[in-house]
Amino acid sequence: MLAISKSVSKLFAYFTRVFCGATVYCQTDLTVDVRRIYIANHTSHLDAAIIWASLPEELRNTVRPVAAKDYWDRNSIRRYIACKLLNALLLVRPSKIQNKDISLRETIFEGLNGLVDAVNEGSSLIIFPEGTRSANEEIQGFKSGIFYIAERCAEVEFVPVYINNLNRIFPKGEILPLPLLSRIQFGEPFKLNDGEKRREFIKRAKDNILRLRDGCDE
Amino acid sequence: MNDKALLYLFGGLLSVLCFASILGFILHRKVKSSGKRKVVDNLNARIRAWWAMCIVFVVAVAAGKIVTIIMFGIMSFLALREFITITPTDRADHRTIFWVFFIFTPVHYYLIYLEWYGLFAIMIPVYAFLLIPIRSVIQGVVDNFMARMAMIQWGLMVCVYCVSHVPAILMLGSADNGNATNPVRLLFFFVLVVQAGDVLQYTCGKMFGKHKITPSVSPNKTWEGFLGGVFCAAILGASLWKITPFKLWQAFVISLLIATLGFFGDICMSAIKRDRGVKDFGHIIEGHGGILDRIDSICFAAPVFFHLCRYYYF
Repeated sequence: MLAISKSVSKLFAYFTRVFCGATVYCQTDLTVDVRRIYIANHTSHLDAAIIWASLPEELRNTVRPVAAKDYWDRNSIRRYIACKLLNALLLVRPSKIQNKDISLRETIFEGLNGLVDAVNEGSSLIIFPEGTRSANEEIQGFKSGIFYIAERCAEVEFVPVYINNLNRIFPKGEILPLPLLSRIQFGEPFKLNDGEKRREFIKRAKDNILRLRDGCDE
Repeated sequence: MNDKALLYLFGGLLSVLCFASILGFILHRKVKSSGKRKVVDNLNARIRAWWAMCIVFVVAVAAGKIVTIIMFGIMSFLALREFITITPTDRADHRTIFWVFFIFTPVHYYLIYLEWYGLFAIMIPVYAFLLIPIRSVIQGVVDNFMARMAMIQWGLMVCVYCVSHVPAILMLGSADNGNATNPVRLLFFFVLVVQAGDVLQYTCGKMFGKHKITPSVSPNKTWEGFLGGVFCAAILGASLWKITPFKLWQAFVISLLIATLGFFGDICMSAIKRDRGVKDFGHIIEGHGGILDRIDSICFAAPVFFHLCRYYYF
């Protein structure tokens, strides 16, 4: 999966950071090479790109954003960005299935197993557990997919990420982005505890992101 | 660049910077206590940033009118971005702000290139002023409508309209006027006096500051710093009278005026930051904060200086 040259990818990362005026804060040393799942709030189509671009260069090859197939597979430009530049894993969203013959359950588990396979093959992932972009700054409820992955990939670390102001740079429903400033915060990694229930884990994951947000809003 | 006076100015600037760097280096070696160390490190970061800013500025101005205009255009763009980022606008203003960034700002700077003074003077205060609410009202969101519009207009006025009056000084020279001074000199004179005013106020405040001047807006500003800094800037301006078209006393009075306006620009922008609960507009320049933190004094002084010069010429 090295169809595009390093320099194009580097340039794209640089351009994304500059356009979004991104300042990156890290509470943890990201350069240590372990498999991680970055979980972030989701307000904009630029979210996956900005997290990817904020990561140290050597990690960008191994990290794969998880993105919605119904959006990113729609035309060749989006497909190029998603598949070639970001090396994204495209998921079918159950809410977007129109064909009634396809079983929802099967689609969901097929997608999740794809993610688990990717992690087992050595990739890190970027996941937006809200499942869709929120229209404002509020963080919606998290879906359970991350728990499913955590159960199956025991050694993987979860890194909470809070993305600030991307909802103003490129909000839902707009076609052109604004060049404002943004802030990307990487928090302390956490893992699934022994015997932790689904609901507890999901709540902890969300709280970790909320803490990043509230810690910097003074 | 075949203007001898300007070369002397560059030389002067270079020696001041070298002097500051040497002083910073000596302080760096002498000061050991950790509390003072922080102040010295910040001072050295500021001096390094001054080097970078002076080099960019001198190179741009020496490279000619187009490069100067582009440099100030980029500065306006970056300042506007910092301003809008801390401004609580609504989702409905997205496209209005897009116009502000990508239509009004470039067109305004293009007008300086064209030297079309008439439209340059009114494009933002009249046309942009009206088009901003027109574009936003179409979206139909009325919450805080007046406040939102006023904030966008203010951002455009301060970051683009006001700042653009610095490169606009270059328009003044093209008049077929017998005694016309090279306008690049005026531009240098202006930037030097205003920025030196900032530094001198800071220095005087640190050395003699006792009585707070605006405790609720900017607690570090003192009467001693303000009066001392403005007076020293006026002396500096007066000492440069030979490179300007002004008489000695005029150079003194004009410097006094622009340094004072610089002070007010500084505290007005501080009031905005305080209101929005941020310390700096950004952190693009190490030790200084954002672009807007650096050029706040220029914003307020530039239009007045431009028009004073314009009356002087025509």
